[in-house]
Amino acid sequence: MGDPSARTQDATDAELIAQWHRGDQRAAAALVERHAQSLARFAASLGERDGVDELVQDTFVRAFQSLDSFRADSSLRTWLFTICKRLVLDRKRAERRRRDGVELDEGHAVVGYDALDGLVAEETAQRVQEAVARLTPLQREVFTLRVTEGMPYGEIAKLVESTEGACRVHYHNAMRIIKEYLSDD
Amino acid sequence: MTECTNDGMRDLLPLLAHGALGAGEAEAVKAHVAGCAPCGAELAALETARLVLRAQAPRVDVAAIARAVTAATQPAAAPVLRVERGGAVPSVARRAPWRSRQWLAAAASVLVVVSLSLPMLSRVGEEGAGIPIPSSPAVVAPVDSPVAPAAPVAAGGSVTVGQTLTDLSADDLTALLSELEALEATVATEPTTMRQPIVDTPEVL
Repeated sequence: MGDPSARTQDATDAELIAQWHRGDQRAAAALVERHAQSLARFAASLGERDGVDELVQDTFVRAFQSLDSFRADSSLRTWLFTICKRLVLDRKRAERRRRDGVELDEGHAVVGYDALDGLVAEETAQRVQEAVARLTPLQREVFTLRVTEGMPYGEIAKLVESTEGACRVHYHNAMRIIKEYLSDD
Repeated sequence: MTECTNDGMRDLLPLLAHGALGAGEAEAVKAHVAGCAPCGAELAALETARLVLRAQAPRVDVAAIARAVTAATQPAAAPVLRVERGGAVPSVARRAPWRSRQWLAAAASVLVVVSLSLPMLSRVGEEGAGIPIPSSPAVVAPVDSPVAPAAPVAAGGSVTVGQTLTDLSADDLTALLSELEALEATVATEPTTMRQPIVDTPEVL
């Protein structure tokens, strides 16, 4: 029969979805484990810092509730990111209504770098952070998806509702800004 | 610093940093980077940015989220498709037993009434010489037997005085229902001729 945990670990997203449809709740847990941290990174790239756990959880709950509408014309991760982005936009609209138009995702927070463990000099990391904060929201979103998730341009285009060509331009413009900032003395 | 003019290779740099390239393709990109200073600088900046962006992302409690999502997406207590021996057969959710018993009891009541009235109709048919109503095999109580209207009618004709229909088991009621269906098929046969019944024949119904 095989080890159940090995069955979920090696299974593709489509296989896990099929297992979940058959009532295997371990498949749901496996999908969460596989995509949760990426969703958190994506949420952070959109400027979210607080309540990210709740945001990720809401994303998965909505996803599983509407899994029948997942057409597999994009990857599951892209579809999850799409749901997450809608939730983030809803949050931002609600916050804007409360705070009367203050933009919350323009690099306000400076986060510590505990997880870097000396792999990157603290000063360099600080400069990367500042450089990314200089990007437009769209440039930052495209750049983050390409660099941290290795997402193909076609999937990025679906997520940001643009074209592959435009996404390539956004990425290269972002890359130029970051290289220039990092090379400045 | 000038940028590399090989757009194809530049496009692959983030995937190399992400470890998303196959072995052959990764080797080809690394070979290009080794000879292209702009791509070398870009790859270094990419790897640094990737580390920083991944590190700055909030850490979420994946296990807690998985538990919460699993609990939230548990199927409701509804009829479930179960695999029966011989293949997947949709099994109906358990019905409340009383509903089927009540239905069977009502059907059995009708059976009793019809059964009790059949001998009378048969007698009328004989006397009237024209109503070919065959005697029902389910007749269990002659009209003049001391049986209360609510007395149970068990398959095979045995009657236990004092019992009611609700005392019967589901199997007994099912058997009665079958008898009723047989009776209905029989009674549905239209007589070819009919005579007026004798007026002074007492009616059971």
